[in-house]
Amino acid sequence: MIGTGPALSASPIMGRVLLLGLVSSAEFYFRSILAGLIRICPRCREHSAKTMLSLGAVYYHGINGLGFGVLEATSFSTAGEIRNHTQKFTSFTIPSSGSLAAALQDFDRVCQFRHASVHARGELGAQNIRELGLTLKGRHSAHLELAQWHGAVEVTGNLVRAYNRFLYREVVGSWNDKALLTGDWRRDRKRFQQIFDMFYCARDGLRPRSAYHTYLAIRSAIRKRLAGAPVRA
Amino acid sequence: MDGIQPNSGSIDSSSLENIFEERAENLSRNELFDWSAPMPNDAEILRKIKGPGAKLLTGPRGSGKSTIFRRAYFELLDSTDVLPAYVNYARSLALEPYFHRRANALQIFQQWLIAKIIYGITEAARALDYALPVGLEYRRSTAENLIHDLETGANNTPAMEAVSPSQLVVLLEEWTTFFGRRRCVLLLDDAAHAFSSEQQREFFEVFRALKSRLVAAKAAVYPGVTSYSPNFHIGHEAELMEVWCNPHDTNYLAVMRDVIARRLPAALNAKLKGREELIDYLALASFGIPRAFLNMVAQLVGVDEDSPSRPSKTLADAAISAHAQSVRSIFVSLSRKLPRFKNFIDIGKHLQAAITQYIKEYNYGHPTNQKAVSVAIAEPISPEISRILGFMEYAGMVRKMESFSRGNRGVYQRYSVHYAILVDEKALSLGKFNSAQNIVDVLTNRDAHAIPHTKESGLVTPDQIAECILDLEPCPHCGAARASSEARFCVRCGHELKESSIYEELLKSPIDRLPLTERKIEGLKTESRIKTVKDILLDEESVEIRKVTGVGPVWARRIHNAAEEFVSV
Repeated sequence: MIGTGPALSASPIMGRVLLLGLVSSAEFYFRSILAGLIRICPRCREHSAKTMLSLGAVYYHGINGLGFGVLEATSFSTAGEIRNHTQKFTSFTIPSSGSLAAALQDFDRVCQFRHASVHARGELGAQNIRELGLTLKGRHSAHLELAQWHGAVEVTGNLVRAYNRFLYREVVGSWNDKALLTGDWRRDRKRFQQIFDMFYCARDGLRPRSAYHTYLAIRSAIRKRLAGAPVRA
Repeated sequence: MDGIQPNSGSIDSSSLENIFEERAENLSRNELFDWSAPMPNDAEILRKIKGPGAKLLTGPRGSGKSTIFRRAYFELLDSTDVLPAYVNYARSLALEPYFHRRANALQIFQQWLIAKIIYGITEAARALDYALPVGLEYRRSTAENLIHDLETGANNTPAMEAVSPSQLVVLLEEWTTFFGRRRCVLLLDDAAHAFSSEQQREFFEVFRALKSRLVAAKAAVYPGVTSYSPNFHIGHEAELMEVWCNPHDTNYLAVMRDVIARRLPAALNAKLKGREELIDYLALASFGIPRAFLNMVAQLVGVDEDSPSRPSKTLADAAISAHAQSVRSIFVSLSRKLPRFKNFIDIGKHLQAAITQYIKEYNYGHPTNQKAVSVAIAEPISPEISRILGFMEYAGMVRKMESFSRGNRGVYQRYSVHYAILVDEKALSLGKFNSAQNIVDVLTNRDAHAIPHTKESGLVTPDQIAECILDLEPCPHCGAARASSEARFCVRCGHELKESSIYEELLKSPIDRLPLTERKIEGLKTESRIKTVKDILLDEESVEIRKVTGVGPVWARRIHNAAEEFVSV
């Protein structure tokens, strides 16, 4: 098994390679979720309607994969990029403070090490040092032991969860605001099931575990809107 | 020996409750000044606490740190040139669940630290009848809401405009000038955050920043368990001062008698007439901890609703035994507040017994004027045993004295054992000559050089030291052992290794774990709906607690204090 304490201690390359894989997986998550939203969310589709796409990407990804086509060359390996692309393709703004902002900041630090791993064989440059807020002098290389590797995985996992929660709330909130949800499960089921399938993590297995029970949790907000209460801005 | 001068005045149950209120932060200003007897070194410590410069006040639970801070607070309020703020961080453990749930837990914690200071400033201004400037009035309100929501575990992080430590210093300077004072002193009590290394590090980073020409911060910390942030250097960043009344001091008994003289009303003092040696006996058994002393005196004079009234050696011994057990319980409770160190605590029980036994065997062969109360352990002491001794210092079981050198024979670390434990375990080896007066004479007329010397190997075996490893839960998914204490994921199945919240576990704890008498615990279980520590904390008006036979206001307060201390540092 790779990524064990002895394996990481024995080989500095191992940690860097694992870091690449970790950030790459996170980037794939961001592309998948945004591509999915472009496909199923009318608001996101409308917002990103003016984005240009090559014919080659259309042929390769097909009509249901247009989101992937748009995002395939997009990087999600810095906090700034994640914020900008989220805004660009969904119109949602990630808050500048709070749990998600803190998670993004932590992920940014992980990406500094990833950047050094990709471009400089793990050696941190002046820019990396500055971004990490360090005051080191001289040349320094990143070497991940078990603690650092697990820390990087934890940070990335925290970000994905926080971002997932944030996006889910924003999407469902905007659907309610736009009256895309009627409050009647039979009519909303198909649309809501798509959102549930996209955001729910079976591995975490948190409750509620079905689209229906998750829908019940937001039904009061839908009914409030139907009763004429003010909707979100 | 001077007799105890009785205080005058009748007593009722509510004033009785306060007379034996052991926690300084719960006393009113008048009660604090009337009932606190100045300890040796208090004047010097108070002068430094009220003065400029960062200071750290260290001492075990009940040693008088809060009393010093509260006195300093009230004296500074009365001064015309210093604006004080008293802040108590005992509830820091309530924020521990956020470290399991939020990526920005450290920022939340920092804002809680700062909000408490802002609130403390406004409390001082109100005590002085100062009108708050508009900006501060607004900040008070948001700080108050933030503190309440965080300490009660609100799911949504309350909003407060984030204030950095350096911004806080600027604001403090502005408010100090606004109120016409020349300096600002922050008295940060219970600042140890001893059970969360993240909180400790963050606190000392904030503490470092709280200094300027006008602003000085002082913090109260515990010995043995306080670790500082990497950038915080004791001596350089702050002066360390110890507050622990030394029972070896020649004035010690006089000071403790003064504590009783100030506190006890005439009716209770009358009970002690002719039995003053019992007061000295309990004073020594309290090992320099005023809170413990008051607790034992309360038992002796029958403040407990179900106690017989006439003071006797038997009652005094029972009080000392109960207190010894309470000290041991504080030590043992560390395995719940620091679950990773459970194995260390288990070996610590053996270590304490071994040290006491070693002293007992030494005393068996020595006359009454050469009885030992300390043990000298040769260096080097292993990190594991050093860690355990640190925990024992925190619990107050031992007190670390100055090391000394025996030339070629090496350097020794000296630890004095809590006198209540020595008495309870008969380690003074007095045989049938164990009247209260005899024990007082032995403890006050000792030869200071009577100290048994030993090595670590004379107290614990190598196997026991080998057992001092961190207690890490296996993977809840596949049962594999953790690769190391730093592993966050199982190296076999990849499952996340989540740690349960210590605070939430403490709240769910059954009341059996509290340092209360068996009778009271049984009463709570059978005569009320109180089953867990959380139930006690939620019973703010003591409605359920007072249903128990023999529980009046004194015991109700004591039960609440026990629960609050159980979930605090």
